[in-house]
Amino acid sequence: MKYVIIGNGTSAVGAIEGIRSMDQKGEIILISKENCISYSKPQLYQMLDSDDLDKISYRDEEFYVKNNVSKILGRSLKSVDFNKKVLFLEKESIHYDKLLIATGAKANIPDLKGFSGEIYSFTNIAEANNLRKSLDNKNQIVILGGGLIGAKLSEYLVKMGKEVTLIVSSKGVLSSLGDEKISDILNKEILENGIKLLLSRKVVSAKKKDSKIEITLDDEKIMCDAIVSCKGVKPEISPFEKTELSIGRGIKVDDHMKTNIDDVYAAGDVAEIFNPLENKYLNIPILPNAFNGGYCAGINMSGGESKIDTIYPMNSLKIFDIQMITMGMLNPEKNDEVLTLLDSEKKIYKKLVIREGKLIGAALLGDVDRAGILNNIIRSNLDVESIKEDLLNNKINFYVLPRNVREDIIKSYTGEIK
Amino acid sequence: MKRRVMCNEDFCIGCRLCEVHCNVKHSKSGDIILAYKYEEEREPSRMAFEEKDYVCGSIVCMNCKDPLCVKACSMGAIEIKEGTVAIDDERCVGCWMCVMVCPFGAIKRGDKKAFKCDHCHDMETPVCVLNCPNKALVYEVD
Amino acid sequence: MSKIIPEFIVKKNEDKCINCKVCVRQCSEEVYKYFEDFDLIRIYDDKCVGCHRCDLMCPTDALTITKNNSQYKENSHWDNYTIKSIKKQAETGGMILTGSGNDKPYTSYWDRILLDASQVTNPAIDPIREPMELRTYLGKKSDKLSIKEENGEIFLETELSPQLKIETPIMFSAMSYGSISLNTCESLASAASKLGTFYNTGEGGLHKKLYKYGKNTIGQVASGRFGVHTDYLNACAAIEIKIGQGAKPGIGGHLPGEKVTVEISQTRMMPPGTDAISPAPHHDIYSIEDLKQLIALIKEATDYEKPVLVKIAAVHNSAAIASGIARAGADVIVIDGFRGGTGAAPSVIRDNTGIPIEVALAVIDQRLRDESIRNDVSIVAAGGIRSSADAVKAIALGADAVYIGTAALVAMGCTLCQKCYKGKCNWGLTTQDPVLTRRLNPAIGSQNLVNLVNSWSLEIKEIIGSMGINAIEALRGNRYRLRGIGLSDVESDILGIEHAGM
Ligand SMILES: Cc1cc2nc3c(=O)[nH]c(=O)nc-3n(C[C@H](O)[C@H](O)[C@H](O)COP(=O)(O)OP(=O)(O)OC[C@H]3O[C@@H](n4cnc5c(N)ncnc54)[C@H](O)[C@@H]3O)c2cc1C
Ligand code: SF4
Ligand code: SF4
Repeated sequence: MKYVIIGNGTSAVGAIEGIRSMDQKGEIILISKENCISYSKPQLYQMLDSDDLDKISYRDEEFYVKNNVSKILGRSLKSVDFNKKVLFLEKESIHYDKLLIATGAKANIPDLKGFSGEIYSFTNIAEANNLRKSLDNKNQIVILGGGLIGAKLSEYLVKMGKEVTLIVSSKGVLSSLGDEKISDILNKEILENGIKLLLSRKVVSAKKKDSKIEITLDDEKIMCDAIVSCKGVKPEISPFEKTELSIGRGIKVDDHMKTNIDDVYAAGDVAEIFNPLENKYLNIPILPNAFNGGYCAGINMSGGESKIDTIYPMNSLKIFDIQMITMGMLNPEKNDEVLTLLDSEKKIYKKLVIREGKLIGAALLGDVDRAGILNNIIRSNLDVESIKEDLLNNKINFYVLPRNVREDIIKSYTGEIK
Repeated sequence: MKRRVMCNEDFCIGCRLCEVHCNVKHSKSGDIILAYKYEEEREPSRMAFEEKDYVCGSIVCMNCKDPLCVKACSMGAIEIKEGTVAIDDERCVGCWMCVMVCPFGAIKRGDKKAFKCDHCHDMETPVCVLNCPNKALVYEVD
Repeated sequence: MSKIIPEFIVKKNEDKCINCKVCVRQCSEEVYKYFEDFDLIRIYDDKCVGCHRCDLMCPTDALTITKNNSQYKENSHWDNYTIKSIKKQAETGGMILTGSGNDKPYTSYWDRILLDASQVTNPAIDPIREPMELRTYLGKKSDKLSIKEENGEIFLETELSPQLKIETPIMFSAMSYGSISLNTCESLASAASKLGTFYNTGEGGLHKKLYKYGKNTIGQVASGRFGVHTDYLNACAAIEIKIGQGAKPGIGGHLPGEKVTVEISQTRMMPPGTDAISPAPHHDIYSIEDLKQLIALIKEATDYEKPVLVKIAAVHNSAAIASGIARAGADVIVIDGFRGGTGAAPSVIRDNTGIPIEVALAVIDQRLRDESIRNDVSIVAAGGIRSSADAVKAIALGADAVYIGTAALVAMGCTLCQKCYKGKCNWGLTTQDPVLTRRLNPAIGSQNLVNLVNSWSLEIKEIIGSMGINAIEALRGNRYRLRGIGLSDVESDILGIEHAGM
């Protein structure tokens, strides 16, 4: 059996582990256009300090040796013949028996009217290195987009002594989470830490002016030395655009991570997974989904049977002093029940969104300990009617759950109880 | 291989000695009085005693069969070593992705690193189990 | 001035205290309280009952509980206990309650009796090398057996009375579910079944969880008749009619409503939360004839398959009563001496009523022999048996077997603080508080009991072996192997033993 994985990111690593949990012998070939080790994208910010890739390594060399993976690095996939099961790289072609597409996502770069200069982005090692090298003689930086990467990058840059302006088209940072309170808290934190935050603004155009760049917003003009776009990512589907592969926003897969073509799987940021509950495909580009998707695909590719859990967004992040973990849907619908707790003094905010007695979303700011218990409640679709007040008001703790539920959880993760 | 510290809550007496002994075990000196009274830094206990109304019990990392933390760790810092889920201190960056997914709430946030029960890997039976005065804690290995 | 001088002083060695607050969490008497704002554990000595839960749990041995030396001025007539009692009563107007057994310094005859051993003329037996029989059968023994031979096979013609077979002459005495926790009952029940002996339900009925131990259960029928129904009678291996209890002869029982939990109410068949009151006498037994009727009734209800025991407190005319009980058809007489334990009793009764078991046992055995009805019944001695030596002495004085209660509780954790009646037992024994009952893990409790009885059994074998006896049966009533020390003529006479040197 010859497994070929396109990509060397999180989902590729997950797939290697998934395949090897079933099949220790089959040949695994990994192709990646980046000529480097697998690294942790959530830690990419550390590359702003130095070019020491090791400190953000995700899996070391030994991992590939141990799992007997042949790597073809620094080579891009150009196109595929799915009928003949052949992959075309720049020069060579490679046959596969089972294919996993794990090409991830690439930066969304807006078209700035009238601007011909470089717009930086920050989604992979090359972009990060490029930004770091350019930063030396640049002081005023404008960041476009108040999502996770935009907010985090602003923090890093301001800590490096740069003058940072963060331009956000919505009313606050991380507005995609759907919780105004969180955005408010973060807006405040960001402002307090010396970032110029421009909310509800649109960039109309930009142009080079001497050695500077002039950006025109709807109501003012600002000057800067560099523009970094953090306006999200989009699935990297370019090698497959003209094929029979079914693609929406990303590559469509079923709950076994299989595409519409036999023996072809996709996982991670490039994939969108069918969600039977909502009857639509979801592309949620986060690390746990990438690993889980890859792992699940790996098992299915190597003859096992694995079904991906319902996916939903979740993240753990820290912006300046605010540590937060969010998960699920935080933007309630009309009949949802919302419980919140706010302790401004201790900088604690908690929010639970409950739909028909089930927890569907939770946000923890300040105190994030044992967040996984809530996550499991969401994932396992548990009833929270009788415990919701406890979850909100007290320290989240395992013993808040009813005994039979606790026993079920223990059983499902660790096996029978004597 | 399964390694699991189970708490039989019917007999947990809420003394929290498991936490104390866990602390001592992971202290520099390994001596209870030195650890508590003379050592400057003492990390929180890995064993978590929790209670609600009349129910109480302790919970630590249960060494899941298919651990979510391993999959969620942004640094690949969590590995299964000899049946124990272990966090590599050197690589952990404190992103708390593991805290976000552990269904038992068993991973603790240290100063900058995550830490959790290591099942006292240099001992046959973890100290919490050895010192549980009512044998509510049971160590299962198979 | 309502304050009474505290009995104990609780000292915390600050050099050792690591502030883990085990003491705060463990003391159910609330001697320790933690004040977070001051990071201080405050100690209230006056609440301490001296149970030692805290210092035994303290991981650094930082605690010591000592007797408070500052007491009322010494006076051999008006001792501190008396002064304190008066003060308490002046304050409350109520009876002084207590738990556990009589702790007053009355003579303990066990400690005045010595055992014989073989030297030269009849050889001692080494129990490690030779078989030793501790198995005992309780019940009426037939005077003669007739045997029939048919087609070369031999049949027993005499119909035998039902017997209780015990592998060692030690059983666990009656402690009701209600006075003790379910975990404690379960420890006793499971230990009895592992040991091949019996435990006793007391007057609290049989919890459904414990039916599986029925083969090793003696079910009690007491004056309150709590939890007595056909299934109960049939589930138990024998039925004990409780007339009295050594710790409180002539006194009924009173389980306060707070202790009557839902589980207990179901087991006892009474409404939850109401006081469970056992009348002082059985109101259908005012005479030996009445007793005879109840015995007959129980036998009838259980198909004459189960032995019936009758338990009385050791009182002045026990011998005559015992004779009556034997004649009323009981299979076993249980005599409970004045050191016997209780979950709750007025101190004045516990400390002043009844007689020592040693004395009662001797006179009852003698009386039944004199009347030639000793073989119609077995005798079980209870109340303050502390060791295998006490048990052996009891058997030599005339008992078939002994019941242990307090010793069993001590094996499970009890430290004899005697505050059972408060329902806050720190060891989880005599309480129904769900936070406290957890403290006894039946797996541990039952193992401790098994260990205790096994070690006593070994010791008994060693003792009888040293006497040259290889079956415990042979020692029963063999007072010749006992000698008194420091006994008056009257005492020797009543006990039926000669003085050392004779
Ligand atoms: C700055 C940043 C911060 C993030 N922070 C978080 C966070 O806090 N929490 C979180 O959950 N997620 C975070 N993410 C998202 C997370 O990193 C991704 O979800 C995850 O890395 C996706 O893994 P993947 O395997 O799908 O893709 P990637 O890890 O992106 O890997 C894609 C791989 O495909 C290769 N490739 C692409 N095209 C080709 C081609 N044509 N030929 C050959 N190889 C190709 C690339 O070289 C690469 O190796 C962050 C991402 C970024 C960029
Ligand atoms: S906190 Fe450490 S161990 Fe946990 S997920 Fe992050 S890097 Fe991994
Ligand atoms: S009552 Fe018992 S636990 Fe409480 S202080 Fe006294 S000895 Fe310690």
